[in-house]
Amino acid sequence: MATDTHAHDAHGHADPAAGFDIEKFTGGSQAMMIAGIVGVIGIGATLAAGEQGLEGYLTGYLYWLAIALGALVLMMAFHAAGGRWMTVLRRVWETMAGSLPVFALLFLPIALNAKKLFFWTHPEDLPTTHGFTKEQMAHLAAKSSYLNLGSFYTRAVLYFVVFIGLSQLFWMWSHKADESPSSALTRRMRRLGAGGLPILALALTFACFDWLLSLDPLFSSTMFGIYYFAGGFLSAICLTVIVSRLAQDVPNSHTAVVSPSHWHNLGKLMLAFTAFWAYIAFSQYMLIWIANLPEEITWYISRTQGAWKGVWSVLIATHFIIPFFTLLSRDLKRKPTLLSLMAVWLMSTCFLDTFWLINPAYHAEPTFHWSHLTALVGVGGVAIAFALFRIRGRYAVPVGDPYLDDSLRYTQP
Amino acid sequence: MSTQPSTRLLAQFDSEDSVLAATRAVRERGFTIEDVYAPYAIHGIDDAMGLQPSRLTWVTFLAGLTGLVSMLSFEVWTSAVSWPLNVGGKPFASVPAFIPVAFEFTVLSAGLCTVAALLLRAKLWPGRAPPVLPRVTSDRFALVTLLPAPDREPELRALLAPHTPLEISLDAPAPKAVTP
Repeated sequence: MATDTHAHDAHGHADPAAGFDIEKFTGGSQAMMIAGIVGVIGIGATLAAGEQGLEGYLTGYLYWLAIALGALVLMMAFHAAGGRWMTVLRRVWETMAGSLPVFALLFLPIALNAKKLFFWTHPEDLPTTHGFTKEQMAHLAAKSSYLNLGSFYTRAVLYFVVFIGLSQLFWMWSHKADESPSSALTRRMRRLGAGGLPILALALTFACFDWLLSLDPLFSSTMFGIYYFAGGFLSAICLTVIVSRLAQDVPNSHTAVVSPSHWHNLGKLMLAFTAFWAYIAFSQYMLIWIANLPEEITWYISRTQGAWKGVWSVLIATHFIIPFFTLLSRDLKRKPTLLSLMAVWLMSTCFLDTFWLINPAYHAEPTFHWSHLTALVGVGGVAIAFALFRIRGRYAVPVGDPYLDDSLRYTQP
Repeated sequence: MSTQPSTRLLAQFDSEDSVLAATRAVRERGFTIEDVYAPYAIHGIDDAMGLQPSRLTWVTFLAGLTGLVSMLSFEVWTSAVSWPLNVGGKPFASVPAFIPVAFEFTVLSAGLCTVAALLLRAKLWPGRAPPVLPRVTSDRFALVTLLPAPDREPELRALLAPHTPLEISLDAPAPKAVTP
C-alpha cells in the first residue's frame, strides 16, 4: 500500500520517493524483551531498596517522563507549524509519546509513597527534622491550599488525562491515516497540535511543580517548568538520534528513509536546545542570584555550594560548553554515528541534571546510590519495551501523510 | 566564433529541476561551472555545482568570540577597574550580571560581521552595478559554463539538450546587459 501511494514512475528513479517501499515494522522483538526484563528487574531492585530507592526511583521516573513529554511537544509543535521535513521521523515521536500510559502506571510507587518523598506532607515534623523557623512554617502554611495530598492526587490525575489524552489522539489519527489517507486527518492534527500545546504546557509545568519543585516546598520559580522541559526536550531529540542510528539495519524501520539532511536537522535541533537549556538555566539563576531573596537563593545555595559546587561546574561544562562547541561542526551533524555518540553524551548529562535537581533536597552532599542507576534502566526499560510493543506490527513511517513525499525529498543548504 | 580560451556558454532554463539536472550533467563531464543564476535559493545546487562548504561560518564564529571577549573585558573594566561600584553587596566583577550584555553584543557583532563579510566577498557594495540578466530575478534559471576549447561547444550543447534549455548563447552575458 505504501508503494502504491508513493511511487513516482513519471519521474523515473531519480526521485527518492520512487524507491520508497516499506512494510509494517516487525523488528525489535529482541530489544523489546531485553528492555522489558531489564526494566522490571531494575524497578524491582530500586523499590526494594527502601527509602533511598524511592529517591532514585523519582529521579529515574522524572528523567524519562520529561523525554516522553518532550517528544509529544516536539511532534505537536511540528503539527502546529505545518513542518514537513520531519514527517519521516514523526512516528518515532508518536511512539515515544505513546509510552505515556505506562508512566501513569509507573507513577503509582510515587503516589503511594508521597509521604516519604515529599516532606511538605507532614509539616508538623519540619521544625525538628529540617529546622524550620516560625516564619518558614507560616510560609509553608500559606501554601497548604495548594500543597496538600488531596489536591496533589487530583492534579496528578488531571495531568495524566492531558498527557495520555493528547498522545492517544495523535496516535489514533496518525495510524488511521496509514490505512485511509485523508487531508481531513492532517488538518485535525494541525488544529490539535496548535490548540493542545498551551494545555500541555500548563499540565507539564504544574506536574513539574508538584513532583519536582515541591521537594523544596518554600522555593518557587516560574521558570522552573520550562527548565525541566528544556532538558527533556533536548533528551527527546537525542533519543530520536540514538533510536534512528540503532534502527539503521533493522528492516522496515524509519531509518532507511532518513537522509543526511534529516540527520543534519536533528543535529541542529540538538545544538539549538543545548543553547536553549543554557539560556533557561542561566536566566533562572541570574534572576535569583541578583535578587538574593532568602526563600529563593537557598535553593541555589544547597545546589552550588560546598560539595555540590563540583557537580554544578561539571553540569555547566558537560551540558553546555563542551556539547555546544562540538555541535557547531557541520560534518559531525551529518555523521549518524558521531551524532548519536553526542546524543548519548547529552542524555547522560540530562540525567546528571535531574540528579542535581533532586538529590540536594534530601542530602547536604552529593549522595549517589546504586538505585539511581537501577531506576534509570528500570523506568527506561519498561517505557522502551512498552513503546516498542505498541509500534510493532504498524508502519514505522506515517505512510498516509500527504507531506511524506516532501519529507523524503527534503534537502537543505 | 570566438577563439578566446575563456569563452562562456550561457544556457537558460525555466525550471529548478532542469537547471539542477543540467548542472549535474555538465559537471560530471568535467566542464567548469562558472555560476548558476536563479530567482531564489535552490536546494542542492551547491552540491550539484561542487561548491566547497562556505567559510562564512568562520567569520561568524570568530566575530562572535571577539564580541564576547571584548564586551566582557569592557564590563569588567568599567565596573571593577575604572569606577568600582558596589551593587547589592556583590563583588565588583560579577560575571553573571555581565552575561546578558555580553551575549547581546556577541550576537550583534557576529551578525553584523557576517553580513559585512558576505557583501564584501560577493562584491555587493553601494554603487556597484553588475550586468544582470533581468529574467533570472523573476522566472529564469541560467547556467554559465566555461568552454575550455571552441571545439567542445557541440559536446556541451548536446549535454544540455535533454534538459530542454530555452536558449543557449555564447559569451555571457551577451543578451542585453542591463544595470539594475
